Amino acid sequence: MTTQDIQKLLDKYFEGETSLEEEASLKRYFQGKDVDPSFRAFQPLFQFLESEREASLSPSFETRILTQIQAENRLRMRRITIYIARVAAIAVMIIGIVVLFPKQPHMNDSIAINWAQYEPQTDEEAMAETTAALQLLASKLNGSARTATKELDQIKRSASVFK
Amino acid sequence: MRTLLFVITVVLLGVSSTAQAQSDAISKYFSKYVDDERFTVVYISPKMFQLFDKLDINLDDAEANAIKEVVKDLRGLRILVAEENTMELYKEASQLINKKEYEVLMTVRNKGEESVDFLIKDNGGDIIDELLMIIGGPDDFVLMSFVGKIDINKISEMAKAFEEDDKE
Amino acid sequence: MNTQEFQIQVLPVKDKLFRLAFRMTGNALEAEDLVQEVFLKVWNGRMELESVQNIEAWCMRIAKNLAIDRLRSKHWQTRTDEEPIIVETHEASPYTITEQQDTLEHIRQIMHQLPEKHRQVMELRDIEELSYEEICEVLSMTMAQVKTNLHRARQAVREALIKLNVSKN
Repeated sequence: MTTQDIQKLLDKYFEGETSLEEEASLKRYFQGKDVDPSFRAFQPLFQFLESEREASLSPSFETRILTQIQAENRLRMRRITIYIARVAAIAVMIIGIVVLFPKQPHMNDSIAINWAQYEPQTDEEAMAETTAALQLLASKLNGSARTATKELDQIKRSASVFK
Repeated sequence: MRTLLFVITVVLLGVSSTAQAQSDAISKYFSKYVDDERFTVVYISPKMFQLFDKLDINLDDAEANAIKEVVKDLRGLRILVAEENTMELYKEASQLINKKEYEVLMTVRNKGEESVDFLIKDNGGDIIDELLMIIGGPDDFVLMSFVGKIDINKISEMAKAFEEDDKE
Repeated sequence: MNTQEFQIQVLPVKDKLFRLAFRMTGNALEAEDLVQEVFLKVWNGRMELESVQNIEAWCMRIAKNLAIDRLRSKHWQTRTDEEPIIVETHEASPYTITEQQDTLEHIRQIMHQLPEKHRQVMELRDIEELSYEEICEVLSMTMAQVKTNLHRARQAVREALIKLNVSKN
């Protein structure tokens, strides 16, 4: 490269208009031994930039990071395992609640309301009640205006017997 | 995370308990009057329904058969009857029924006399889970709950059997 | 991303991160510690990495932000005692340095006299050889800001170099 080329590049560089490639060739030029005396003032800058680039981490750093990352992985695995275990435990609990609950309210109701005490003692009585109830239902479904006294009486009568 | 699971648990508990509370309209209603002597109460347990197979019904064949068919599907029956304050009790019962849970099958209103509501809880098919009948008349209040896997067609067959009988 | 991919795609940026951290904190040990923190952060958030276009610039940005955080907390801890550490660590004793080191030291001084933003842009461009886009990302600047800052930095350095040369001769 001629001195003129360098001068042009330098001007462009200080204007902040050079590309990375052009900057690289400038750096190469100033690393060389035949730097034109007219550019001497700028040589230290490029030497400085070069020397700054030399600072690096110790070679053991990479191994250290990798070991640490693997340790982190194991820790994370353990954390995930604990997390899954916890979620599973709670899931089991929730399933347990959901499975148990449908029975519980009925139990609760029958504790609050002891339906069993209203149950006829014999199956014949019970059948009569059911039949009466269904007859009443049927007559009401048929839109019968008059209250089906007969069936209602049956219900009332037998209920009072075992009350 | 813990908070999230806590929330899920609470929500699930809430959902399951409210669903349960609402599912049993008659219990909800009757719990208020459990010690009220004015009520006549009848309860037939699922166990009792299992015994019915062997029994005969003292009715005409057509009616008896129709009833037997329905009884086969039943798993429980609860009846409340009251003879005082019947209209108030009827109104209260109608209001208490969760309209989201129960679907109105039919309502019969007789001017100034008697109202009958039929409500069902179903899964969208012909087989319903519960049939609720509420009668509010001048002399009687009746709240009746049939539960089981009830075939609505059998119910209408039964109604028809009695209708034909009435005509005779 | 597995360990191997991490080693190939992310770890090579380590020296650039180290230098950036060192320039900002002025302490090699702290800089190394900071780079470690960056890598662990990147590793733990590696799912995010899929959407990152330029891993190098992304890592440098994290490093820059971490360094700022550290400097800030240090500033509050020791704000009564001393100047920012940067200057003291770089100031070698005048008796031990050779002439060339002396010159480099002068350049360092010149660089340090630049406004922070000017200096940072110039360092990333001329030492780390980042593209303008990358500098934008690392320093959270617009393209115009990067170019203006670089222009001003180099102009200032040029004047200082000429002045230095004149005084030498």
